[in-house]
Amino acid sequence: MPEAVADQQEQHAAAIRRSYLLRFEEDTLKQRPLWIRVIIEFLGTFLLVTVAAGSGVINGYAGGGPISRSAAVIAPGALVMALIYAWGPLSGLHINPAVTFAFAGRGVFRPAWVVPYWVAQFAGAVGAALFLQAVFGHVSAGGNYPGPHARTRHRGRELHRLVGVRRW
Amino acid sequence: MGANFTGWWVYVAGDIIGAAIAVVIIVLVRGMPDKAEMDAAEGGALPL
Repeated sequence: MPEAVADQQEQHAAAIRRSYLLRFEEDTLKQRPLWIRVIIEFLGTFLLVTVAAGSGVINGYAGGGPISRSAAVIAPGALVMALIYAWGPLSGLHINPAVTFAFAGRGVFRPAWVVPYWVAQFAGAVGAALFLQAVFGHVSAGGNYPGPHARTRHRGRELHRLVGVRRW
Repeated sequence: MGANFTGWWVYVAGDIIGAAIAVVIIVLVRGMPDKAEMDAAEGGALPL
């Protein structure tokens, strides 16, 4: 008899949990307030940078050389696809300031949300870099560098001449 | 870049110029935005 009561109480508790979860989904997620969107953008950018930069960092940590170009793009690409399927309906999942800027310029994203999205994305990216540094110590293998023949100063002068602005 | 900020402006200008070019191309290809595009940018209907 006590087992039946305990079982009934457990079922009742499960029903309440389901009800609250459903209410959270219907009320909070459906409206998608800015704070939910900011959290999603932060987490998405954090995961993207962790995977994109982390693959090189981990390979360097394990004693390997630079990772191949295909290895460098497949993991972030698969992650972005999965994240868009999972979290895209919540925030649009831009996870890139340029994407947010482009959507706002296109007129399909409200301008008032651009800065909060940017802040979340930059915070996520910096957080991921700090996370990798805290875990692996040396993270230079996760960065992108100009090739040995890049002449950034010379090209910079050409660009300045082209657009007619002072060097800054 | 390991705290090397030489040429940092390239990474800002490149984003802005690239996004502007993308907007121009999408206007040429698809025309003005519709509701589906807005849903994709701001988050579409949830499957609830």
